Amino acid sequence: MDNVKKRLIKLGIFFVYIVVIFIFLFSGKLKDISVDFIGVPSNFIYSTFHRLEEISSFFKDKKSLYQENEKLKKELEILKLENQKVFQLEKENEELRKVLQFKNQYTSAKIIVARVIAFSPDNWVNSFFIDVGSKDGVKEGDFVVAGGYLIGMVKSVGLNSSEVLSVNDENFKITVRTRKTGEICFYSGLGYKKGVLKYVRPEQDIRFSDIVETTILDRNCLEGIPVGIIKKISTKEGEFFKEVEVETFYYPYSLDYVIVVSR
Amino acid sequence: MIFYLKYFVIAYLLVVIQSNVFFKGVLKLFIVPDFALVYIFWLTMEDKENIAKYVGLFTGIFLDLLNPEKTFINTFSYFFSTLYIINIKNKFIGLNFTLKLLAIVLFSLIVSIPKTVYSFFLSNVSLNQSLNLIGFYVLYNAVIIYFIYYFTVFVLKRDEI
Repeated sequence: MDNVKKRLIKLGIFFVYIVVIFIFLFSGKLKDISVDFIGVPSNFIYSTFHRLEEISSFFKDKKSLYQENEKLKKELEILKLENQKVFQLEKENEELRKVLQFKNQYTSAKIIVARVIAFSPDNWVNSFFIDVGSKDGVKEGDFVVAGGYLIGMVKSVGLNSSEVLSVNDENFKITVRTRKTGEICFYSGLGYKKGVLKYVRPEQDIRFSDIVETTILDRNCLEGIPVGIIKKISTKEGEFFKEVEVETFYYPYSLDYVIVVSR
Repeated sequence: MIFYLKYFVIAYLLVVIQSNVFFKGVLKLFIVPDFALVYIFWLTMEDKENIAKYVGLFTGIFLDLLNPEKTFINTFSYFFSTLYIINIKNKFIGLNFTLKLLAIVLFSLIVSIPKTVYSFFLSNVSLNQSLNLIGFYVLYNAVIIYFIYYFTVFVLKRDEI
């Protein structure tokens, strides 16, 4: 009888443990706090590496610096010339916009520049951490852009850092539109530099190498940010929907500065 | 308290190191070695089974909290695989170098397979990609444990035999 009692008590304690762990894992607040736990030390490590790099570049030999200076001077001259062209183009562009009454879609968006300070410690998750948080005005669901392309969405926001789910992750899901044909589809990440358009009906006009972009249909979305290019369209035997593979622009190995776009 | 706390702080620091930009930005590694797992394994092998259990649970919870989605897969896989490895270890009087390597391979597999199955059910990720991920993950962990034991046993001459 005593044995049964002991076992019941043990089972009860185990059950309490499980409940406590579940409360821990499924509370959003704790998730946000944990982002800061990884963000703050990562930021420190990143800054230290950056400083070391600066010091090492300071000790570069004089000759290479001189050569670099010469090269940069030449490049500067070319850029000055190009800059003049850009000014001209900008003016022309502005005038055209006025004529067409073209609505500038990103003017209403708030833009925050952030630095990538860490990547997910879990190899099965495609996410990264940035050095801006709720203090800087970042909100959950904000889009993250690099080089003009969508690379992720803010998932957890800490005080000083945030976690971004990349477009390649299987959990990344948004509504998108094809640029040429304007077909509305459902995008989901699939792995390294890959995504997939889901539930594409046979009558939908999906074209090879068309750009997939964000659409206003998604509540968090700013319209027209490119997500990827359509690389493969196929139909599986016995399947109703088309299989469409998208190549994304998220490349983790050269990420440094990103832009957080929020309305 | 401080004596036990140090093990958790080390595990936390290892997770921070593991997430550093150095591995992807500088070394351009597609898969990052799991230092936390190697540490739990090392604790088990150094007869600190009780601490290993708690560190395994802590690491799993921490990794799950860092996961963008609400999940418990890391807590489950780290904790139960630690228990399994402790169980295997207790069946032997002592593990030699080769057995330790085999044990870390087994440990890495037990941790990685539930995660792979979970992500496979979440979305049909190609099997090839998953196999590559598991393969390199296991290899990295085995290489790290090899170097740790090579230096502690052969270089530092700490072999008691």
